[in-house]
Amino acid sequence: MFEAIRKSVERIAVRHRLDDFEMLLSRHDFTSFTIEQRDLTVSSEVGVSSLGLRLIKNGRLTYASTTVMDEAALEHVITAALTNLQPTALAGFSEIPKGLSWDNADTKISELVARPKRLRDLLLTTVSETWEKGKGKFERLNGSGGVGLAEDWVYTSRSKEPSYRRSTGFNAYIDLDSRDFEVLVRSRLPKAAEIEKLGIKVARRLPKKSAKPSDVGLKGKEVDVILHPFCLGSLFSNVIAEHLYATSKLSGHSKLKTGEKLASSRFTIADDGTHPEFVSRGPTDEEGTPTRCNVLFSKGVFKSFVYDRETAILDEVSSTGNGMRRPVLAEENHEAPVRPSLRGLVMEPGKTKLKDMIKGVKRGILLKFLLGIHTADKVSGGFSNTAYLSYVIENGKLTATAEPGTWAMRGNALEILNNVKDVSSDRFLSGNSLLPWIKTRLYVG
Amino acid sequence: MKTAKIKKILEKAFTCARSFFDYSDILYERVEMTEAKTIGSQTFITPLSVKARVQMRFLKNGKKVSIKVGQMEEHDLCQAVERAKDLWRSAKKPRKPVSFVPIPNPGRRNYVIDPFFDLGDADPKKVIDAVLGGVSRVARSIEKKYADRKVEINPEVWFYAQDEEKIIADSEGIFKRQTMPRTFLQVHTKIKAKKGKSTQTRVRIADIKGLETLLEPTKTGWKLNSHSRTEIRSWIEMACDLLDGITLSAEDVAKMDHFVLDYNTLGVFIHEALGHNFEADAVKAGESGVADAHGKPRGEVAAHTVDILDGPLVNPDTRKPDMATGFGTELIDDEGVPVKIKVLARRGRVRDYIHNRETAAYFGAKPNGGAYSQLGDSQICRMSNTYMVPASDSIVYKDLKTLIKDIRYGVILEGTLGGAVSKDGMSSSIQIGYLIEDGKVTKTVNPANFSGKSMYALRHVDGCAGEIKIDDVGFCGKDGQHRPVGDGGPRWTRIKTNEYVQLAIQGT
Repeated sequence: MFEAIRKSVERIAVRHRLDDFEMLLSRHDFTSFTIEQRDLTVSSEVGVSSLGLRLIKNGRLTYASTTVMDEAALEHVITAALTNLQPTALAGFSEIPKGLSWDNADTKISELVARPKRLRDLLLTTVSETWEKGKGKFERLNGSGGVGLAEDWVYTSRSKEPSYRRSTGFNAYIDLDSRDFEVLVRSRLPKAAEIEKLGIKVARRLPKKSAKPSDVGLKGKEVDVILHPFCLGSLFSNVIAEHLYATSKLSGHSKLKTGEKLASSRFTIADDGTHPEFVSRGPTDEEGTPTRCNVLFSKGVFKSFVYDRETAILDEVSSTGNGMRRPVLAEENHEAPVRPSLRGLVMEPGKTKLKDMIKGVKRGILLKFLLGIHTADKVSGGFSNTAYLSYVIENGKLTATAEPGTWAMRGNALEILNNVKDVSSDRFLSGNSLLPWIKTRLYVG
Repeated sequence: MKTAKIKKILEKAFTCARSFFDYSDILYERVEMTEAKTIGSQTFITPLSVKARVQMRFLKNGKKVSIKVGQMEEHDLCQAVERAKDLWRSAKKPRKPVSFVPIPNPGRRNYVIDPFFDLGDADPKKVIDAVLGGVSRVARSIEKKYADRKVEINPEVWFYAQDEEKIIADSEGIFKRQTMPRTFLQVHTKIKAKKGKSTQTRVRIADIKGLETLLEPTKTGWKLNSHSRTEIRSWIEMACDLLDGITLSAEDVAKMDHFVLDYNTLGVFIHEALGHNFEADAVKAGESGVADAHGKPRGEVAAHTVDILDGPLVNPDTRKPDMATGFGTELIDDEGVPVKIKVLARRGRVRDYIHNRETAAYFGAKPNGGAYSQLGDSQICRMSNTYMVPASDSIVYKDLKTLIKDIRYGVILEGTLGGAVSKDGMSSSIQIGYLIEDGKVTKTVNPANFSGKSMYALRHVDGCAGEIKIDDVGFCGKDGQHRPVGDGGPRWTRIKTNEYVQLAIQGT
C-alpha cells in the first residue's frame, strides 16, 4: 500500500514542482465485542486508512489530507493545498535514517483480529466469572474487549526509506453499575487469567454504599487525596502538558523554566516513546525524528520542554522527537497539525505500597477521575471538577464510592506538582503511560 | 464519486450480502473541508481535506454484525461482507434478538440544505485570510483599549467550512442522499497582563450554513460579519474582565440563594445532566440516570414549569421545526430516518428518548431520527440540539434586570468550555461569573465548575428571561465518536440553590 501511495505523491510532487513533501500513512484493522448487560455484540474495522501530507513549495508550507486512496483524490487535495502556502521556519523535512522499521506486532493478536472466536470466549468467561463470583455486589455488567493491528509509515522526499511501525493492541474493559471499572490495555495478548479476572477485581473492592462530602464531614474542607494514575495522567496530559510544549514556551504562556525546582523532590517523570510495553511505541515521531526518552522533571527540577522540528528551530535547539499530529479537538490524527506532543509518560515509583498509603489517610478520597478535566484552565492550571468513579477513605479503608455529582474538587494542577506528599511503589500500566498513585491535598467544594 | 457509480457498488455489495444475511444496510459519508488553525505564533492551513468512509451492518437470526470499511470500492465492500459472515459465526445470539424498525418515508431520496455563500464557489485563501485577519483586528483594537493595563492578547483560531454528503441504502431498496454545509469558528483567547496574571476565554460561532455563518462579501473578498465581530469582541473583553476576577470560598457559595445561567452554561448543563441520559442505547444498557434498563423513568427530571427538547427549534411563525439552523441539525439521521423534535421531558416528566432504529425496535417506540455515526463508525443514539423551554408563563421574566432583582446573594454564570457526564452526575465548566449582591451585579468572578446530580439538577429552575437560543455549539464525544451539537435555552435561567447542584470557583 505504502509504495503505491508514495509513487502517486511523488508523481504529483514532480508535476507541481514541490521542494519537498512529508507523508504520514496509517492503516488499521480492528475487531471488538461490546458487552451490554452481559450480551456481546461484534463489530470490526477493515482497511481503514488515512494520509496526512505536508508540502513545501518555494520555502513555504501547506497541509493536505485524505482518506480516499487514489491518485485523483491525491491530485485534488494537493492542488488545492498549493493555493495557500504559509511561511515556515522549516528549510525542509527531515532525512529519515535508514533501518527504522519496527515490527512490534504480536501474532496472537493479529490472528484474533480476523478470527475473534477465542477473544469472544475469553470475554464470555470474564463476564460469567464476574457475574457468579460478584453476585450481590452489583446489578449490571457492561464493557468491551478489542484487538487491533496497525501499520504506520512516515516518509519524506529526502529519505531513502520510510520509518515503519507494525503494532498490535489489546484492550478489555469491565464496568459494574457505572460505579467503578477496570481496564487492561497491552501491546501483546495478556494471559487468559488476567483477562478473566478483570471484573472480579472490581467486584471485590466495590463497597455497597456511596457518600456525599457532607456525609463524612468533608464539605468545604481541604482533604487528603490519593490521585489514581488515571487522574494523574489526565491532569498531566490536559493541563500540565500545555506548559511543557515548546509552543507555550515560545508564546510566553508556559509557567515552567528549565533548571528550576518547580516540583516536589519525589517527582521524577519522563516522556518515553520507546517504552517496550507502550502501544504507541514507534521508531520515529510523525515527522521522522528518531524517538527517544526525554526526562521532564528529575527530583522536582524541570529539565526539558518537548519540541517538534519547527519549534526546535525557532528556539535554536534540537527536536526532542515529539513532533506528532495532535488534534485541537475533534479532528482525526491525520488532519491535525504537527506540533510538540507527549508520547508516553513514565514516572519513577516511590517507596510506599498503595495499601499503606490508603491506610495512612484518616478521611479523604481516592480520586480516579475528575469529570470534565479537559475543561480545566490550561493557562493558570486551575481546575474545579467533580469526582467520578472515586472512593471515600475513612480510617484507612475504602468505605464508600463518591456519590456522583456531589464531590466538587478544587485545585491547581501546577501546584499539585509542588505538593506531592507521597508516591506509591505500585504503578499502573495503561497502554501509553506507567504511573504511580500520588498523595496530595485538594479542596472539596 | 458520481451517484450512479456509488449505486452500482452498493448493489454489488448487497448482492454479496443477500445470499447469507436477512438484512443489510450501508452508510457512506464524505466530507470536503477547508481548515485553518493558529496556535501560538504558528498558523496551520489545510486548504482541502477529503475524507470518506463506509459503515455496513448485517442482520441474521437476531444477531447483528457491523463493519467499518476504509474505501468505497466494490472489492473492499464485498471483502467486508465475507468478513461479516465470519464475524456473524463468532457472534453470540443476544437474549433479545436484534431488529431494526423500518425507515419511514422510504420513497423520498434527496435531502438538501443549500448554503447561501457556498464554499465551493469561494477562493479558500481569501476566506481564510478574512477569518484570521478579522479576528486579529478585533484583538488588536482591544489591546489598544486596554493599553493602560498592557495586556497581551493572543487569540488562537480554529476555523473550518465543509460540504457534507451522506448516502444511506439498504438491501430492501432504500436509497437516501443528504448534502449540507457546516461552518465553524472557535476563538480561544489567552491574555497576559503586565503583572503576569493570565486569563482565557473561548467563543464559538457555527451553523449548518455556508460562509454566511461568519462572513459577508466585500468588493475584493470577504470580511467577518457584524454578528461574528460582536461575539468575538465580547468574549475577548470578558477575558480582560477576568484580570479583575475574584474567587469565592465554599462558604461564600453556600450562602448564595440563586445561580443565573446564560444559555451557553444552561445548554451544556442540560446536555450533560439530562441529554445523555435520554439516549436510548444508554437506557437499554442500564447506564441512564433518568430511566431503568426497561425505559421506566426513575422520577421527575426537571421543574414542572419547563420542557426539555432535542432537535431543531420550532419556527415561531410557521410552528414547524426550523430545519435551516442549529449546529446539530440534519434533515435525516445516519440511518435515513427523518429528524423529529423529541420532547424528552414535558413539565419535568420523562416523555421520550433519543432512538436509533435498533433501540426503537427494542423499546417498541417510533424512530425519531437520533442515530449518528462519525465517518464510518456505528450509528449510535446522539443528541442534536438539546434545549430547555419554559412550559409556563409563571417563570418568564421581562429581562435580566428583573430576573436578578430579588436575588440577595448569587452569581451570574456565563459561557462554558464544555462538560462531561457520568451515570448519575455531571460536570460543566463556567468561563466567567458576575457576583449579584442585593439584586445588582457587583464584581467579576473567576472561572468555575458547575456539577450536579442528573435527576435533580433542573428541579429548582424558578425563572427565565429572553429568547430561546441553541447557539452553544460543540463536539459531543461518545464511544470514541465526536458529533457536532448545539444546546441552549432561554437567554437567562435562574436556579434556586440546592444540595444537588455544586459550584466550585477557581482560585486566584
